[in-house]
Amino acid sequence: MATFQIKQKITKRIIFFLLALSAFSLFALMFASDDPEEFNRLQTPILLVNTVSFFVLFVLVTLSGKQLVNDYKKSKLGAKLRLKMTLVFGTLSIIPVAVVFFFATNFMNKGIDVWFDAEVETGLTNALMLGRSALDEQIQEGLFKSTNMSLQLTGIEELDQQLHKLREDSFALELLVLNRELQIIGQSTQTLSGLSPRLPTRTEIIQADSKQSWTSLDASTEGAYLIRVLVPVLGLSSNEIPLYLQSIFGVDPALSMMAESVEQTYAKYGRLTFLRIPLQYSYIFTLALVVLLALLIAVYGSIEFSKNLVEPIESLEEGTRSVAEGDLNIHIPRAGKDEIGILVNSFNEMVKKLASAQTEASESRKIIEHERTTLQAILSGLSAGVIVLDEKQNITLINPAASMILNVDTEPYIGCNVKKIIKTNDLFSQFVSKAISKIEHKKSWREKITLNLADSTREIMCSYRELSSPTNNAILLLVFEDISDFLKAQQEAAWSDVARHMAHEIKNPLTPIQLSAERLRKRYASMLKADDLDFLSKSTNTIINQVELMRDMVNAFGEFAKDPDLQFENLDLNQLLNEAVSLFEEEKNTEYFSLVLDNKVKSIEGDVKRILQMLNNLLTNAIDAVTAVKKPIITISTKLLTKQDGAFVELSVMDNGHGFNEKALRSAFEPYFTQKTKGTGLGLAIVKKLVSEHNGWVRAQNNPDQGACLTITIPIKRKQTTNS
Amino acid sequence: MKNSINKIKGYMVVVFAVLLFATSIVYAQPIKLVKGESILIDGVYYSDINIEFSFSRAYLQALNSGLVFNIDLDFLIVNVKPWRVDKEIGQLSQTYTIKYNAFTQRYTVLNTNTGREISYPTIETTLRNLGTINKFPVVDDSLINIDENYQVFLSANIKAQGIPQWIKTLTFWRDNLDFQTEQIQWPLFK
Repeated sequence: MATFQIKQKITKRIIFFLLALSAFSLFALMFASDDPEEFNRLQTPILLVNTVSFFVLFVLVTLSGKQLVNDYKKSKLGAKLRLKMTLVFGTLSIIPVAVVFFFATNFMNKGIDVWFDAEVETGLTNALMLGRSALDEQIQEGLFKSTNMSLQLTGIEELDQQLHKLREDSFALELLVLNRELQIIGQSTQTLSGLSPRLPTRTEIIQADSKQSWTSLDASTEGAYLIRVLVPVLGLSSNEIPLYLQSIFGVDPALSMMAESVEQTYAKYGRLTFLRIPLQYSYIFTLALVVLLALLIAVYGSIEFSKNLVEPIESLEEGTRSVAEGDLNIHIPRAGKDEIGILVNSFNEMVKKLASAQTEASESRKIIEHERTTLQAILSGLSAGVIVLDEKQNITLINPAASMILNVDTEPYIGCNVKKIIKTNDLFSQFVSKAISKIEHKKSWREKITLNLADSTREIMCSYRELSSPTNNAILLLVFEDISDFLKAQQEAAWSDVARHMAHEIKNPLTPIQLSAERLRKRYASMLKADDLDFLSKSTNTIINQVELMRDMVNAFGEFAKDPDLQFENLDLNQLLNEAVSLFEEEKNTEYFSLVLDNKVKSIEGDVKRILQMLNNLLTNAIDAVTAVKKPIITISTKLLTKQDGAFVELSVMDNGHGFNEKALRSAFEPYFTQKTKGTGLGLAIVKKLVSEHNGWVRAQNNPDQGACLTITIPIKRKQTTNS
Repeated sequence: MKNSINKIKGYMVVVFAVLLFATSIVYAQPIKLVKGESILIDGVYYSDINIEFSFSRAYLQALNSGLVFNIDLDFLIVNVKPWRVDKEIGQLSQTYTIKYNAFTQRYTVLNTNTGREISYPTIETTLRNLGTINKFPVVDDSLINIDENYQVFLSANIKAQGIPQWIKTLTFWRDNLDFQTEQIQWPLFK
């Protein structure tokens, strides 16, 4: 990337240098055009520089254009806009340049045509003719003088002196006498002229022979014109060898100068005429080169300009995309001080503020999340159930206690409308149905709701309040608690209190009653006849027996009301069961019992007396239940249960008696409830109490075919607690 | 198919025209060195040279328009040594300028080496005279070993004065009045 940027910089510098050189060379060409020689000298290198610049630019423009088209084809970001801008700018520059080139070429061609106007040429030709006619007179004069001089020559003796005299008389520059073989016979030359004799050619001699004279006008290298005359010297010719006199006269300097001037102008004009087409081509070429250079500069400039213009927009688009994707750590480099630069700065500012806002939002979210977690923890820790509904009665929150109280997995109900839940028929729907019927009438209430189970009822104390949220949406809050156990405990406490009072009040008079009955029998037994004695004995026995029964009842009351004072120890339940059953079988003389014991149940922590009391009550009830059965069977079983909250032992006493009726099943463990004709109604209540003291629970149910089953579940370790 | 044949025909015509043009450039030589020979006179080797001028209409037009032509003759005397590098004994140039004076209506030939100027009434006379160069001193006998082989190499070129180089460059394909002959050679002595 760095290398690419360096290359770009170098390229730009080269372009700038070439363009500067081209501009400089063109200016030089423009100023040099005043001096043709300088112009000619500079023209080639200047054109070479411009041609090189042109080709370098052409290559650059081609490469840039190709790159642009490739980018466009690949649908690169911003390529479309760049291409469009380049085309627009390029077209905008091409059209005026083309128009200027067209008109400039036309004007230039017309201008050049004007130079070569026919009238100019005619004028020059006329001037030439005029000058020539002026010189013709001098040529004729020279011929006349030469002819005369040839006649004046008298002999070849002292020929040079004769020629000298004649030359001075005639103002000739040179007089030369020569033969046909071009041998010089005599001569006289102006000393100062410095001219060496210029011999005529044979052709000139021949012409002089045929025409008796030959004249010519020569231009010297110094710009002077010379008149050359060749005439035969008839008087000196001897032995038929002809001699010739060549006279050279100078043209009048003023006339010569004018003639030279006309000739030079004519020649210059002629050269220009000859070079007219190449000149036109060269000017058009130069103009075309300049125009093409300007055009390429414009196109290259448009490509670069559009690139520079679009680059920040591309960066903005990329930035926007990054922001849309959530990346706020983006900063677009400054793009000058124009509107786009302001836009870029605004974007950077916006992103900065967004990042700041996002950080703040993130912090707030963390706080909310923390508060939510805290609330969740509080709600999870609450023993009371909480259900939150929105104003459309959709469930938004249910805490774990609610799930436990209503004995349902509430997770699927989150987001459900309560009216859909009501259609189901479980404990949860019962509760929701009853609560919703009240919600619709009052904004705040606290009531007890009774839920019916198959074998029991559950009492729920429910509070409702309609709250308003910060967004003014109503929040419906239901807080409830299972008070069934509380009510039962309250009931049991009340019964215990009654039992304690009864035991206290009844137990005390029982002993005097019994003693009085015994004393009565003892005192009057000897005094009464057999019939009366029999009557007395029966009556006192009845009193004593009833007192015993009442004492038993009072003891039972006492047991029920007695505060727990357990002595926990490790005991082998299976062994305890074996012993208890053996005792019962001996005492009751029965063989009803069948033991199904789990060997895994080794020892449990418990109070032996209390457990034996539990077994006594359960087995007594079972025996009572099977009294009327032909083949009584009482099955006692143990089973080790492993649950999440620890190990438990399950003790079941199953009989094939008459079982529980519906009411009995619901109230089996309530004090003073019994199906038996004789009974205190405290047996199962005491069992329940003792089981509770061991942190266990008991349930009563009917067997599928016949009889009842009472199941006790107690933890193996005392400290274990149960949620039942 | 017919179009393709026509196209091919078109291309062939263009190629033929180009070749014809190129051939005409090659063969219409304005100046051609015909012959050269050397003789020893009084200890100096002189050369007689025959040059054939064949000025085209463009040359004549240029000349009559006032352009001056330079004709350069470049002599090179070389000691030719078989199996060894040749040795250059000497070189000399002779330049003539030929121009037309519209005022005198004569063609003037100037020997720039001697400064001698001769004018002729017609171009034919001028070129004829210019084409016959006699007794042009080439080399002194003292520089020559008679036992060795010496060759005189001559090349000539004609250039139009007054045409800027850039115009010549631009119009190289048209009316190019500059020409360089092939080199001819002859033995300095037999």
